[in-house]
Amino acid sequence: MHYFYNKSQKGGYMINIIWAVMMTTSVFYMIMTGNSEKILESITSSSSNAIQLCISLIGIYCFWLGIMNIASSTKINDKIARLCSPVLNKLFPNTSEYTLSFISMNIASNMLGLGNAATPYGLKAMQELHKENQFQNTPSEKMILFAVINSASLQIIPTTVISLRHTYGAFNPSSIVLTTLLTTLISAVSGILFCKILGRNRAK
Amino acid sequence: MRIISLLSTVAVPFFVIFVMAYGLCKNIKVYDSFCEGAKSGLELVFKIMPFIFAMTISIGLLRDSGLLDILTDILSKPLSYIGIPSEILRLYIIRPFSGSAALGILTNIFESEGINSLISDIASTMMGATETTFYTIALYYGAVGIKKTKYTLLVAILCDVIAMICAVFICKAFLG
Repeated sequence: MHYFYNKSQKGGYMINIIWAVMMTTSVFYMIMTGNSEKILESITSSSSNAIQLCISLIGIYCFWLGIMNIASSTKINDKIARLCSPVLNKLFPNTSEYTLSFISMNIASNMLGLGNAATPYGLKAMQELHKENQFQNTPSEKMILFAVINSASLQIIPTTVISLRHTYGAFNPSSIVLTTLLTTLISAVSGILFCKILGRNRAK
Repeated sequence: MRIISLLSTVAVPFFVIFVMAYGLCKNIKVYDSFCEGAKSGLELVFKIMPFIFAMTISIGLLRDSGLLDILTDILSKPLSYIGIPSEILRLYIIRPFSGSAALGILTNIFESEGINSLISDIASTMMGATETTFYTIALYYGAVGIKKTKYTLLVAILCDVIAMICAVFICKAFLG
């Protein structure tokens, strides 16, 4: 019995399986195709890329969380949260105003296409949501919903894509704004609906 | 549309100045407060570093081994019968893993299909309407140390699929 309990604790998380499959099949395939000397090369370059990314993230996160800390000591962020609360209270019921302020800042930055500012707020919001979570190892419904909202893009203007289209000489680079907005809206709303339905089923 | 893009460029400096000025008015030690917040930024990055690291390596291996190309080739055949172009599918498969790799594919599509083609519009819409799902989820749960994600991945992938299908049909309806 103890063995089975341990087993269910150790394995079965989707992300673990996906990651393990990605790693092992890639390495195995590289050996089979005679590219085994490239394995270390790939790992080395990815590692240094990851660290470079992290170092640049430190700067961005420090700045935005610094600004946010001033905002929270002036209680502006409570006001921002209250401004967004008609919508957010429906999505995240019974959440403290402090947490809601991070969620609203995250969503606002996402909409404006400021991904660099959105992520630190989002991670902070996630940590605050986890403090209100009654389980240690599993996410609450609100946390799942928040992760899903962030993995569906909420950007109003896809700036990167538009500038790329401009570079490639499109007749109308921003013609895709409306289609992108509609697509995002449909996928985000269905994500929220799926979360609410699945959350309700599990609760019963 | 102009207004929104103007808003997104003005929003940042305005917000920063507003917060500073408001903080000074309220007699808050803005410098101390900023530094305290910045410290939590440092902690946050250290917390998510291993997850960024693990994801970057596995995605790099998948790409460098050529498995990603094979995967897209296998999947694109049956889906091309439904009317989803295989080029788009390649973009779709890479999008959840890596934003920069997806941008590379997007530019390939622009070059091979022509920037003013419907396929380029569909690809642009796809790119703008989705996120790097796996990376985002790994990051967000990494920050709180949760490994069991319950139905998060299922819903997120479902959203991506819906976005892909919508992008094809909405672009065909509006721009085709």
